[in-house]
Amino acid sequence: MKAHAETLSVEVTAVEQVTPIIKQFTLRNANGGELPAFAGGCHVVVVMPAENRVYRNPYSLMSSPWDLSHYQIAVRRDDQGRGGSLYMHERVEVGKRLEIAHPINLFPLAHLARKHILVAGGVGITPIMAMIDDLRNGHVPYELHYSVRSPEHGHFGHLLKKQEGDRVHLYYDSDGKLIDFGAVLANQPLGTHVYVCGPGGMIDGVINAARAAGWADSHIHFEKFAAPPVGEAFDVYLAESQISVHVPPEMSLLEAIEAAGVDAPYLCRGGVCGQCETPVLELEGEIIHNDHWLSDEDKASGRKIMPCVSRAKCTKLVLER
Amino acid sequence: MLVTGIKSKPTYTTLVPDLGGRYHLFIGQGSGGEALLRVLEEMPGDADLHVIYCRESTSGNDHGARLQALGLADLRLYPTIAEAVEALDATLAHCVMGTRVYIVGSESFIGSCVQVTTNYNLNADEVQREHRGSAARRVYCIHCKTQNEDVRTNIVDCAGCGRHLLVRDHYSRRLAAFMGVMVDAEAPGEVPPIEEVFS
Repeated sequence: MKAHAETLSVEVTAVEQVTPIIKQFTLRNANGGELPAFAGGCHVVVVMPAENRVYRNPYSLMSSPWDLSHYQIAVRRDDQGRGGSLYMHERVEVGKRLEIAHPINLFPLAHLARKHILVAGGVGITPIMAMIDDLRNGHVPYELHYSVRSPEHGHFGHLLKKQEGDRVHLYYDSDGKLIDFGAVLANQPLGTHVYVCGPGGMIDGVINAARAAGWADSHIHFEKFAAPPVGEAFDVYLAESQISVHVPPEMSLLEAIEAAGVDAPYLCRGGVCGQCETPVLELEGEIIHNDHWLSDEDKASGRKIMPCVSRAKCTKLVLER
Repeated sequence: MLVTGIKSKPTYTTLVPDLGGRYHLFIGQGSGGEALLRVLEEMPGDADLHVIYCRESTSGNDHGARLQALGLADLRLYPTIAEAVEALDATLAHCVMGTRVYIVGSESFIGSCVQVTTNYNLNADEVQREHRGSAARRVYCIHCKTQNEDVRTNIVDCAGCGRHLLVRDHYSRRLAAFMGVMVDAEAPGEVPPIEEVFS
């Protein structure tokens, strides 16, 4: 499988500021016709060619999988980030053409479940919205617990409440109302699955509460995309390509490899899918692992790295690429 | 002849306490009672234990009395496999997330129990299975749909249609049975030597 080379050309048909920090983008197939089919939980990688670099950020598809006339994504503005979300917020307007990768699902529904509990925080609602479109016409019960800062950040929650009624439970930090994960997960029927997408603390909270209630891990699902962190610059030698690459502070190792013209595999660009795993041939120094893919043993061995999110603090790093 | 290496052939482990769970439901049959006694002994004193035991056994091993001697708060004994499996279903209907199921007995018994746990969407990390006692197979005739119980030979005459069935390793979790396929369809009467292979 060629994991990323083929992209789709899309055209932006609507841009809406839906909360003080989130913009929603509607995309249609630039070549006409329907877009490829997808399921709730899928994401696409959006290619953003800036002046000196190319951003490739993953965004969950939030529109209905039953309507392939368009895709919708939502982007939370991050002024401290590396610039991808600012590119989307400031430079993407109606009529702009973008390249996106085909949808990939690393956060699928468990279709044999007897009940679904969906938990989201902030912009983490996006994959959950498409999941709800998948669940609405089925016969399996589901409920949503959605937390945002305050009602003015609650655009998607208001929509879902109107559409789903009592299945939707909204929580506002401004009211001092937090989701009590233990209470939500207590005494659920056998075959219940929980899905969580939101800030790291929320994901950990749900995982810990589920395990404390005795849930087996196969019933706990989460999407924890890590944005590539900003770090110190370092240099890497790509043994197969026989080139040296400099990785500046605000560029990920994967982005630097791509900028050097080397075709490297990837799918999620967030440290979860495992596609970009690369053997480390030589290392003088240490790898700063930021992924959720490698085992603790692999991380400790210093023999593997996930270039999409991880960096190195080293005097020498040679990769098999 | 049996065609080995078929991935659907079930694999079994040894029951061990899974302390990630909050409610532990054990179900054993015949010789499996011995394994129940072993794993119950390993469970911590404050664990929430529930035991279903079926005394029906092809080998005649009945550990019912030894289980009763443990003085468990919830031990239910049943004379037949059908009643024990029904009790499993009725118990799971009231269980909540946090339950672990431990199954031990003959392969057919395990298969019947797993049919029930699967209906409740219990996954491999919630259901342990240990094989004890007979390796005799339940064989499903793919021609007439008859389930042949307690099959010990590589080839068996179907109780439903009389065809000579080759017992395959191909296992159906839905039917909880191995597939039996007519062995002499192309050369009637040419049946390979019959041997006892599942004892």
